[in-house]
Formats: sequence, C-alpha cells, structure tokens
Amino acid sequence: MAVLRTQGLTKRFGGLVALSEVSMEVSKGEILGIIGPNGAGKTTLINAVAGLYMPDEGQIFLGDRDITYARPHIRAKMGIARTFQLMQPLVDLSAQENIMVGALFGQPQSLRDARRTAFEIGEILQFDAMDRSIANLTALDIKKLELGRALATRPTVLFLDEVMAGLNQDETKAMISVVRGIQGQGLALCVVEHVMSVIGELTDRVIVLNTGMLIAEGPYAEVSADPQVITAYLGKEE
Amino acid sequence: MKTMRFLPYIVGAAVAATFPLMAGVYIQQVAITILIYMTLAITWDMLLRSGQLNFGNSGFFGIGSYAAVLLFLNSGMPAFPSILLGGLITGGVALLLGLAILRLRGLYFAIITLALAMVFPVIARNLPGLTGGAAGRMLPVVLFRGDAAQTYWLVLGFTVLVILFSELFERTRIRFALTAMRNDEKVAKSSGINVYMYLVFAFTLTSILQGVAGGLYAHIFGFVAPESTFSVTFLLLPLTMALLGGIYSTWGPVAGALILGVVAEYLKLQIPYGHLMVYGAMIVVVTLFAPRGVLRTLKVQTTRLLAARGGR
Repeated sequence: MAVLRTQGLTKRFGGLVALSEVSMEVSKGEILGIIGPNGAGKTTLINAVAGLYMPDEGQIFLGDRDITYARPHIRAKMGIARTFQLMQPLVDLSAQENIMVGALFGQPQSLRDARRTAFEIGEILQFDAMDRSIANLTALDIKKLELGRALATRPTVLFLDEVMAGLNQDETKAMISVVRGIQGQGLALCVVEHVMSVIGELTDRVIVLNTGMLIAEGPYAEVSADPQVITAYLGKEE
Repeated sequence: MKTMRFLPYIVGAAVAATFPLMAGVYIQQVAITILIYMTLAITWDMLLRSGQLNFGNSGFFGIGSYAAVLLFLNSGMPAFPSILLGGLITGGVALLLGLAILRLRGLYFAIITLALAMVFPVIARNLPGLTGGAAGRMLPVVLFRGDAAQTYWLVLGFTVLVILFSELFERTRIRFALTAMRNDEKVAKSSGINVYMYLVFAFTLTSILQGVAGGLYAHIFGFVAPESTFSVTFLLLPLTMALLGGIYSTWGPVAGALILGVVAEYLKLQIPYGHLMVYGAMIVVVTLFAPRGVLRTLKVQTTRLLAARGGR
C-alpha cells in the first residue's frame, strides 16, 4: 500500500518548469530510487513533498491525508523526513545534540528521552562520534549525522538526497549497509543518487526524472535499458 | 568538585545581595544603572540565539517606560502594577508587530526593528495630550522615594528573574530550537520545529522583559521624554555589552555588562565624552582578539593553561 503519493505535482520557478505533473508513490518497506540528470527536478520533488516549496498544481497524500498545503514542520511531525544534499550539520550543537533535534521536535519527547533516542539511533547507524564536536567529523560521520537527525523524527517516509556523494568506496559500502539497516525498520525510503551502482544494488524500483517530467518507472535493470532514459542521460545521437 | 563548580555563583550571589551594605549611595546608583543595562543585554542576546538581530530594544524599553508612567499618572495605578502592566503592554505591541515582521530574516528584520524603534519616539512626541509631547512627563514621586539600597535590591531581583529566563532558554528544548534555526532554518523546519512560533514567542517574551526594564528605569529616574527614553543608548550599550562578554549565553552579557558598565562610569568621570572613543576601541580589540567574547576566550585560555601545566 502506498504510504506517500503525489498526483500531477507541478512546480514552476518563473518561466522554468522544475516539476511537471509528476505522479509517483512509494510503499512501506520499499526502497525507491529517484534518478535523472542534473537539473531533472529530483531535489525539487523532495522540497515539494517536504513542504519547503508549495507546488503550483497537484496534490500530495500521506496515507489518505491530503498534505499539499501543510507547513514543513507539520509534515515532519506527520512522518516525512529528509536529508539535505549539501552537508548541513547544526554547527553550534554537538553530534548527539544534532540527532536530538529530530527526536525533540519530530515526535516530541523529553530531553532525557531524546538523548536516549539519539544514542539508539547512533547504534543503528554505527555512528561512534557521538561526543565529538562537529568540526572534527569525517564526511561519512556528517552524512550519518544528517541521516540520524532525520531518522530521529521517526519518519514513515524518508528521503535521502545524495547521501553517497563525496564518499570513497569503503565509505559508500558502509553507507549502503547503514541504509539497509534503516530499511529493516519498515519505513518507505526514497533515495536520490547519482552513483548508479548504488541505485542498482539498493533499490526495488526507480523513477526517472528529466526536465521535471517522469519519463520512466520500474526495476533498475529495466529502466536503465530504456532508450528514453539513455537519451536523457547521454543526449541524442546525431 | 561539585561545590567548586557552584562556588563562583554562590560568591557572586552573596556579593550582589550584600552590595548596598558595602558601597556608598553613588556606587549603588551606578550599580542600578548597570543592572538595568544588563537585563537589556541578556534579553537582546536571548533573541539573537535564534539568529534574529533585534535593533528595536530601545523602542520596547521606551514603550515600557511610557506605559508605566502614563498608567501611574493617568489611572492612579500604584508603581509596581504599572511597571508590570507596562511590560505586558510592551509585549502586546511586540506580539502584534512580531506576527507581521517575523516573516523577515537577517538584515531585513534588523532594519525594520531599527525603523520601528525610530518611529515610537515620533509618536510619543506628537501626542502631547497623552504623552506630554516633546517635554515628556514627570513623576511626582520616584520608587522607594529614591532610597538607593531598596531600589538596588528590587532591580537585582528583576535581573535574577531575567537570568532565570535566559537559563530556561539555555537548558530546555528552546535552546535546541533556537540554535537549530540559527544554524540552518531549513534543517530546523524539516526536523519539525515551528520556527515562526518560536520566533514570535522569543520576540514577545524578550520584549516584555525589556518593557519591564523600561518601566523600572522610568520609575527610578522619575520622568519620560521622547529623546532620552527612546535613546539609542538603550540599544547600543546593551548590544556592546553582549558582544564584549560573549553572545549566545547568559553569562557573557552579564560579564560584558559588568566590565563595560564599570569602565564606562569610570571613564565618564575621567574624560567626559572621550569615553565613547574608548568604547569603540574596546569593541575593535574584542572583535579582533576575542571574537566570541571575553568570557569564552578567558575560559579557553585557562583550560589551555591548566592542560599545559598538567602535561608537564
């Protein structure tokens, strides 16, 4: 059953159509890949679903509730979480406090409970830098931290915006195992990624965006052979 | 170890509480003024922790002053209720304005608060029937009939209250909300923080406290007038104190107020008007060599010194 569903979602920036009538859905326990060339609208889709952009047309449903006009913090409380493409830890908080922010406000709980939640999430993520200051974290640690903050809101749908970008091979492997661990929690995962091997390995199904339009949908092996998708990535043969 | 940690607070509290027994009336008067500025410095910093730069302090301070004095003179309300109600009226004005202007961020918010702080005295000057116009209004009696010790204790009590509010901001989920939105508003929103509500709350609460500070000040000095009550000093001096001591904390503004307050008073006597240049020099030096404030720099340096000794 679809946990999250968009219907004809359209977002324009002036004359530019960033999203054009995108209808997609993702189910509980599923890992959905969202791929497409640069500027295809992947992050715009996340921003629209998370509420940072108001769509110009279309609707967004979480379960059977229409959340098209809900404000971002309400959506976070309802169960939509996301990481940010640019690594954006909260620099004036410690690593543990970064994760606590999600726990404190996503599913409101006391400081003590939030501290425990942060600790538990650290274990799931194999994050061992809990008491270090943000300045001393590695790229992998910061990615995990970002993931931990999102996860601490106890989401039903979690968007990962290029969490593998900038990681080396070993780190990527570690991150894949972390993401698999999260999937075990039974939430719906949407993964935006440029590293195709990761998409192939991790996802059950992918959707392909190009210039704001959804051009293909299906298992990665099928979609990656689709001539339309190949054209979108490589350009037309002259 | 535990008593050692609380020692500075205990000593500080003891000195503060018994101060009038040790100092003369003049020194007590100076201390009263410093404490009032201290409350403004702390409350200014409290909102700054959300990332919003409020240049309207002097305006809300002035509204509190005028409200307290006018309530006292026109409705025959006793001094204390007039000060409290003055604070609430200030909070009401801040709430209404905040609902509108807290959609703005950064420089836009800073500039509009500055503009508001400039508008209030113009309003005060142009309602002579109510506010006494450019001449302002005098109070027939001042608080405690001018008894410095009693006035000091009252203002000290208010300062402690402000410190408690500031610590509330530091020790509860409020700190997480404000720090998160200061560092990255999108991350804060996406984590479930109602940024707008927290801003309105922080803006209104700090304005209430600034209004009460204004009411106290007016009842202590016995008058309100557009130029002096809405003086930009009530913005610039607290701001300087907070920067000097260290922003984003309770004790930074406290330390900054003590340092700058004492230095300012001394210099005013030594080199009248020249003291402003020394303020400027102090800010330049602190910004260059202790950008996170005197208190934090001292802490870092002593920790380093102790660590170096321990290492040997």
